[in-house]
Amino acid sequence: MKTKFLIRLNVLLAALVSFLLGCKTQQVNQSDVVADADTTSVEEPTPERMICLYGIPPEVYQRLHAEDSTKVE
Amino acid sequence: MNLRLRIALELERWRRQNLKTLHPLQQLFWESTLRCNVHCQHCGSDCVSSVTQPDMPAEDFLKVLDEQVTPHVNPHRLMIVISGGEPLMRTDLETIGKALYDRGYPWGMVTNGLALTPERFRALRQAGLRSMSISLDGLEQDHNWMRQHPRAFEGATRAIELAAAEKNFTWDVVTCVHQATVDHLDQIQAYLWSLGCRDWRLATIAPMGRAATNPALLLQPNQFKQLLDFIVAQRQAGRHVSYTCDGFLDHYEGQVRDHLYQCTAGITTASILIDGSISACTSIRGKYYQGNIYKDNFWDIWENGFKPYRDRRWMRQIEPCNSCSLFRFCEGNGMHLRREDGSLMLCHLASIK
Repeated sequence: MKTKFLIRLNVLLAALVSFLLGCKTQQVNQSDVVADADTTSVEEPTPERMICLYGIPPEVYQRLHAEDSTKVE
Repeated sequence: MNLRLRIALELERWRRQNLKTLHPLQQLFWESTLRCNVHCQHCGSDCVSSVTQPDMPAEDFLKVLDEQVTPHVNPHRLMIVISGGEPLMRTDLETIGKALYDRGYPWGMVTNGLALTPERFRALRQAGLRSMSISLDGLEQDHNWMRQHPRAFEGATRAIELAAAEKNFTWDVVTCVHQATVDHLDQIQAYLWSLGCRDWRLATIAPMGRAATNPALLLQPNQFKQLLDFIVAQRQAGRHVSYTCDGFLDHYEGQVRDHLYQCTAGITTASILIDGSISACTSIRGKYYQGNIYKDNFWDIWENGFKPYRDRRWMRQIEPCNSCSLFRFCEGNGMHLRREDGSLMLCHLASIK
């Protein structure tokens, strides 16, 4: 019960932070959510997979897939 | 620091405290080798072309995953990052990647790109490679100097071109900025964008490993601010350029990254090092190891260990944190910047102020 409460609280806090910072995409890291089951295939990685330190935040992943990354300015 | 940022930092602090309680394992680094095909001036792992520490057998790492990690996580939500040294030095990388993919784990790697041929890239993609960070530390002369290899720039460029041409692939370029390159960031940006890069992370070099004995690699405070101002300007121009997760940045918070500062070491990030040591990120060595997979249960360690990472009040006893009013947001900077005696190698806040 406490775990679920903390998870939901964190989702709310992350959304508030994103709102305050004026982020276009939510900073919600959905990996905070302990999923009972995730039927998402590895073929379709979800934005919440993040490589820390050398990695790529979820927002970057979302943005990459919102535009053609091979397009050259 | 304005009121809006202050409130955001307080909320983020609250979120981070909750995250410490939850500590969901989201990233697992595997230091697969210390062998490397270059000899970077700034290598934090002090990697060399041949080493006395052999590569960890893949089956040892997979055994830990199967017996001690998988029963407790949803594999789809745990990213495994293969690092080194240079992961491409392992001829079994594709086999390992496929094994991770078959187990439902998304995986990625960090590479200098030198050994990444189109054929190898294709094979890695077929083995389930989901993401890649490519290191490029400057234009040709600077990068080759940094990597101490005459074809390093050529290799990194080829890797970037391969990644840029690939669909449904997450990748970025990471650049370690030092005194010789901080004035060339515009040129580097133009070059990367010409290759199709649209995500660029800039890092500064910490005084560890080989960089500890080369002060020219470390930015002066005015140069550090120059770097941050460059990133702010790039983001205002609509380019996705970021500073790495290193360091609390005071009024630059919210302007140079997509998220507020957070050191996730030991909170959502763990690593298994070449000799089996259990750590948080691969840059954290020595005293801060939490155990070893060859004698401890990784999951027990993850659940019940990592105390110095999850409760950082001990840093309050040590300068400069003992007198810092922003410790509540910074929490002593990144764990990788702590020496064995607990002292701090680098305070980003001091550089900014």
